[in-house]
Amino acid sequence: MGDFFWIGTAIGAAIGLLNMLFILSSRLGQTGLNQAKTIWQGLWVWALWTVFGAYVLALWLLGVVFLGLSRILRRGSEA
Amino acid sequence: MIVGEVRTAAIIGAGVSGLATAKCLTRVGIQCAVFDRNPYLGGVWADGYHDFGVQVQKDLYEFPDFPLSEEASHFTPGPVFREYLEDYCDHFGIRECLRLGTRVTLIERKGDRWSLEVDGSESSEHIEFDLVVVAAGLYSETPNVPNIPKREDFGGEVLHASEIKDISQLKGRRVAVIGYGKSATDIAGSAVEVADKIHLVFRTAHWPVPRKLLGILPFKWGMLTRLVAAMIPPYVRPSPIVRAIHSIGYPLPWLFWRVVELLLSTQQRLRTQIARGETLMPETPVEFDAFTEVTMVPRPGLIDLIRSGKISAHRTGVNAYSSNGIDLADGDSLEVDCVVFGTGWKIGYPYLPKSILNSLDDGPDGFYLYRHVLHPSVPNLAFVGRASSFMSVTTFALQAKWLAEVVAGRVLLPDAEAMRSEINALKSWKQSWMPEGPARSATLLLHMCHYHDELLLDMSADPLRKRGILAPISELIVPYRAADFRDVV
Ligand SMILES: Cc1cc2nc3c(=O)[nH]c(=O)nc-3n(C[C@H](O)[C@H](O)[C@H](O)COP(=O)(O)OP(=O)(O)OC[C@H]3O[C@@H](n4cnc5c(N)ncnc54)[C@H](O)[C@@H]3O)c2cc1C
Repeated sequence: MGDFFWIGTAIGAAIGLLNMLFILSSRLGQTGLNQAKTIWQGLWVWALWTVFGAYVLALWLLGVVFLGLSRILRRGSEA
Repeated sequence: MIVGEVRTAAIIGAGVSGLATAKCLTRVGIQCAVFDRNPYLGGVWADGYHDFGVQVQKDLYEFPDFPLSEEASHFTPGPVFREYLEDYCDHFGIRECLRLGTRVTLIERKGDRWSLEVDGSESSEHIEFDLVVVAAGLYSETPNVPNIPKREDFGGEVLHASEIKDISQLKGRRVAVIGYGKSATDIAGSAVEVADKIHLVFRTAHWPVPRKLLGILPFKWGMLTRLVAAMIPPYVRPSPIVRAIHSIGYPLPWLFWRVVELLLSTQQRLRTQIARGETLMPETPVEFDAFTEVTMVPRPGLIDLIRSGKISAHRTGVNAYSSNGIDLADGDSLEVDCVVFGTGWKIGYPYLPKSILNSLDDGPDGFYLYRHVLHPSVPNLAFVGRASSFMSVTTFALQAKWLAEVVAGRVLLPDAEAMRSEINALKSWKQSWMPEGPARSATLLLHMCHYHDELLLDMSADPLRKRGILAPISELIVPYRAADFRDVV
């Protein structure tokens, strides 16, 4: 459980970092957009991905299982 | 595209979009004339079917810079919204632009200008303008009444939902309401109180959205946030993170929507048995069904009326009329003396010559426009209101502002080739996944926030509208209200 939590958090932090970099690169320097707001938004996005990374991973795995099952069932009913 | 100097503009339609356009264009010094074939303003809000009203909460459906009164109910009734539009007109001083009771019958290009043929109550005339803005709406051209065989055999009355101004028209009658959208279900629900028998006949079931999810949470929280917008089929130009969510991360949105379906079907008891053992369960996944033209927030109690048998629901088509009713495709016959079609409207622009429709590349989806407003092949012709959204007043107000900024030269358009390639990208994106329909080119619905983002960025305004220290969280999970756009429009 502990390992899963840390793996999820690490994955979340990595995705969050990429998401933050995307926000910064797409917004910084654009006319009309507030720089401080951009940085604040980027930091929060990173933090949220990190905090919820393990939960997102758990939901993703649940999705993998149910999506897989539903595809098998659908194939079965079509055959 | 806009060419030359624009000093005068004709606006066709005095509904929400026409009034918003008049406000914005007059603000940049353009002399406007707003034509409406009706002798009153308001468009769909001026004269609707019995007990009609807005589907979404009032903080979503009002002008960003002109809030509805505190006293107005949460879901604004049609007549109240019409009064509000009158007040809007006076507040922004646009009443003098109105030419009510004047139908535009033809628009033609004459040199660098447009010539409009307009029919008033007494005479018809030709007037020239630099710019024409079509703000004629998607829901008022021609009532869509399907051609069903053997009409001549039926002795009863056939009506379109828009003709039911007072539900007492159905008093003591046996009625079949055809359709499963907002107007059909509203009328069936109201008619229960007065009619002898009500049947609701529809071919396809759609996912109704309850006003409150789980009976607690207003639906906007579950449907209209940026978090949910990241789960729907991605926008034409998705961000890398959304692209990842819908590729390797796909099980996540898939699971999300299955949970939504479970909640919607349990809460609204969509497995309720109706005629011939059918149910109200839709077949199309909710994330795609939400983009059909019949997305609906039904009046509370509709499904209970179906469950209790007060409304007898039939999930099938209508084959033909008979002498005493209608024959259904499933073999049943309904004995009725009135058939009401809640089957929407046909979109059309009878005043646009074929040559212009050809230039707009009009097709089965309608025509696609740059930012849903302009087309590079037809100069100085703009459309406001050709975009369906859940908060149309805000969407149209943003479109009107964007157009005014383009006309004033403060928003620069890309060249014609770039616009065309944007239009083509939009078209192939929609055709790759969105349910077919005559208004597919104009459908935004759950994608409205992405479209608003584009308009805002063009106008050098920040698409992130929430304020305060917790704004980044609000951006994710708090739905936008019209008021969030107040300083832009
Ligand atoms: C019952 C109902 C509930 C709705 N609920 C919602 C909701 O909750 N949220 C939402 O976002 N949207 C909702 N809508 C959609 C609604 O139609 C739009 O929000 C909006 O009001 C459309 O405004 P419009 O000005 O673009 O078009 P319209 O209101 O249709 O106005 C167009 C005007 O153009 C005029 N016109 C057309 N042709 C001509 C001509 N040749 N010459 C002169 N005048 C012409 C018409 O007479 C009409 O007055 C709802 C619609 C209905 C009917």
